[in-house]
Amino acid sequence: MTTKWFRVASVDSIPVQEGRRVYFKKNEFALFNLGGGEFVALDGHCPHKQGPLADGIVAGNAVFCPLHNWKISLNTGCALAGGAGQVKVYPVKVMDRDVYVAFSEGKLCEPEAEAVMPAAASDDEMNVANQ
Amino acid sequence: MEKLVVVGNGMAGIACVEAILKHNPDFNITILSEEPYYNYNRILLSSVLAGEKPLEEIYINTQEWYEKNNINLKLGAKAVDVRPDEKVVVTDDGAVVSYDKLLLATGSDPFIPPIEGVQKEGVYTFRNMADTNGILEYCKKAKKAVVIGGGLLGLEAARGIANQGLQVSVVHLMDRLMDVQLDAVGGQFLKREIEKLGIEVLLSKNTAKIMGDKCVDGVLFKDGSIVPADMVVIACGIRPNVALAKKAGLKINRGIVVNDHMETSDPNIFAVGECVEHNGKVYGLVAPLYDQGKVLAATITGNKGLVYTGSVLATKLKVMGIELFSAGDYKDEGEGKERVCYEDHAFGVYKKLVIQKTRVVGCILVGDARDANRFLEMIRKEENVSDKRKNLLFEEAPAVAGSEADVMSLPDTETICGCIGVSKGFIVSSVRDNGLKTLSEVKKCTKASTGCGTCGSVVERILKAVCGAEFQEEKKDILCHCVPYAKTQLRQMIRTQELRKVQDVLDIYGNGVGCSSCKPALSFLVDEVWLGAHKEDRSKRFINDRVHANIQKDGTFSVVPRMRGGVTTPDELRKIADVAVKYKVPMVKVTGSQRLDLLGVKKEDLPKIWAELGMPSGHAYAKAVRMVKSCVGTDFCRFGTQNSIETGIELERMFENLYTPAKVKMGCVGCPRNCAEATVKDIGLVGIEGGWQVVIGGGAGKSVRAADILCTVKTTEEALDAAALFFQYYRENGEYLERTYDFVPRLGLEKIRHETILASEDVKQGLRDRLKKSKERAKDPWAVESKKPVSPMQFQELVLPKEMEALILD
Repeated sequence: MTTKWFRVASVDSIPVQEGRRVYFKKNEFALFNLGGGEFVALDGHCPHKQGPLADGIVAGNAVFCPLHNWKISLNTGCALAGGAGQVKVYPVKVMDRDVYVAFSEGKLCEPEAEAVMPAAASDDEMNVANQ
Repeated sequence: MEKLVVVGNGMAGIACVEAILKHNPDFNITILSEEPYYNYNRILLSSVLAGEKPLEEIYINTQEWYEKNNINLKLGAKAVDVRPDEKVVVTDDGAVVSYDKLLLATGSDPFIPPIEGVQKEGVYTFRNMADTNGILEYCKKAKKAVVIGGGLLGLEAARGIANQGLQVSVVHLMDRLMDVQLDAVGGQFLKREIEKLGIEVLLSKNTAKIMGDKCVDGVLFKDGSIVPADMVVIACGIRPNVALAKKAGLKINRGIVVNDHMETSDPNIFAVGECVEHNGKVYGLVAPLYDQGKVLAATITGNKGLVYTGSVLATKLKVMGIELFSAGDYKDEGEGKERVCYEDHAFGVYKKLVIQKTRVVGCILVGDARDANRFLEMIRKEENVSDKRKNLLFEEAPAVAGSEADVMSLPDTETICGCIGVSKGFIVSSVRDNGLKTLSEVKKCTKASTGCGTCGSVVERILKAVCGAEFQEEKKDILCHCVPYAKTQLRQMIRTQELRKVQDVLDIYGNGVGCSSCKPALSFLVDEVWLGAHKEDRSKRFINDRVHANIQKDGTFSVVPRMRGGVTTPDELRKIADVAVKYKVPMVKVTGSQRLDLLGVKKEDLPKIWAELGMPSGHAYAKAVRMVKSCVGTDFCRFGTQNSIETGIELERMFENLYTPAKVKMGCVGCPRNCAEATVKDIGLVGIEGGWQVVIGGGAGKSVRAADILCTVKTTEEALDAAALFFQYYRENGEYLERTYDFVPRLGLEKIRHETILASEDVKQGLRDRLKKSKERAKDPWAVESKKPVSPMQFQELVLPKEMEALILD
């Protein structure tokens, strides 16, 4: 099977440990630069309340959604720390200092082992700013 | 659109529907729910019974979720018949629901053994919300309960009922508790631990009859013995609910038979959860249900490919501090099987691994389950453990002096706290009996280490040894588990080690990774210590601080320009109006802080809007100085005694563009009528006849607190100086996210007074100088970054052309 790779950005357009929203054909994705030439692409919206994951804080192999602090694995797209749900992960390739994503090859991955029983979503302190 | 009808609104059914929705299917979904409740977490019913969680907290999906996903939910609709040839389901109210695809997630029913008297008042099963409510209600009048069934569910029920203040006996048909998950030795260990909780355990008891007239008054066993009881809970296991599947003529053994794609024998009917049997196995735990749901979602949406290959069963149970874990095949008899064991009767710790050839195939842990995940991984990954055989059960070699193990070897009578006279045995039993997890809880409960405090570390080691994985660091003191140091200590480290990068702090003192809590907090600390004389790594900041705007629920941003003292001009209003029209801003709102908010702005428009407004940032998105709210004052007001507008604007100018531990909102009023609510602000100036009152620590946010009076002064100059001293003092001593209304009571007003307005002139000058220094470096971020973004893509997203050509590689 042939894979269609789309050039999304150059490697230095996204600062290290940040993400950017990617819009392509009415769909929204999130592309993260983890540093060291490693990029990750996920569906753009948090499984919780559809927050823009690209705007989250990246920490290790997870991103924290900016709306309600849900922790999403950058390895599997699964909600961690007691959250439920997951987003698709897309294959990413870096060639000639450009980042390519295979948008038609999104996958729902198996969750990594984290806890045996699901717990209720943690009520982490939120970074709330009001007007 | 195809019609998908789901029978069952439980965890499996809904998890599967959620997985289906991820495929963006073209389905019109109807869910038939026999129970009249939205989807809830059945596992947590035991926490509700134990009084640890209110009922409302266990719902997983709300009405909103069903509505948002256009799901037609029929609550209280029990499906009673299926006619596959007509493709319809019939509910108990006679309604006929037609389907193109049918998903059965009927779960299981409690198994009720054929015992005489089960219909008596006071006899319950423990399976759903109605059961739980019924038991809780009946507990109010009952005194003694018998739980029939010593499995997972029965023990959870027994614990819950004991928590409600009843005497409880658990009776079990087999010779050991949890015989499905535990071997004989494990069952013995568990029994002893359960008995320590005051719950009676009776084994090898075959129930003959539930006695009593209308209500229960006892349970008679086949051996002739009787246990008096005024309540009975039957928890003898569950049976897959296959009634509907039978009517549909599906292939059924113990459960509805499905293949690896989760298809039943009818091409239009699918099944998931506890009601199915896959490869001869029926699962009653939650993890397999999720796995199955994902596979089924792929199959039913036409993305067939993913297969379900069965799950490794793992049970983790916690009954009031008893840790228990069982996974895989625990039976150690049989060819090629070996057993690795550890037993400590005094501490109630039992560990067993079953090994077949080179891999771990089963595991039982009682009393200490902190390694559960490690073993489960070994089982799941079928890891070759030959090299690890020497220390399979304990990852690290037993640690040396000063470790938890060391402390636990002390005799129970050993005095740990010499000041108060507290023995090791007392600390251990207090921790166990009361489920203590933190050092401060132990201190409170046992009084140990509340004298001179030198035994604190020993007490903590005992606590760690007893709690295992349950141990918790003191929450209040440390910044975060990623960097486990007190905030004040970190401030010190950042200063003395000259750390100017958040990543350096994480690498040297933390786990190198951080999280969304500690990264912004450390960013604040680094910034505060170096007064802006460092290059900031924006990736450690919350999105609001990266783009200087407040993110909204739909991913757009809001723009609030500074309007000092709430005073504006026709010219400013015109510019705001022009910008709002030009950029099609969906909403312009007057905020509670006397300024205007442009809501719904796209990220990429932010710098353009700032440039065109030509107004400074109002910092409405940051932990920073927000604004000064003012009243009209002597300029126009006939009651005004002070010029609150001019003073308010001056106050705002003094502090604007500065960052603070949490947001700082201020107020300035011209008389004690307090029209701009200065007494519920972080800093307030209240004009009085012949002077000002300076008030601090007020707030009307999450909590409402009236401000304390810091001082009363004669001149405006003195008032502004007092405000500045407190402001800088708070910046230097406040904890990240700590509002002044928590900060002031934490430190105490007297201490704050003595270290600010009543401090020596040197100290005061120091505060003023540091404030001046950071003020000199502070800039309006909108003015700076609208001209020169910190990175070329600071405000940009990646928008790809629709017609973009793909690169095809083999």
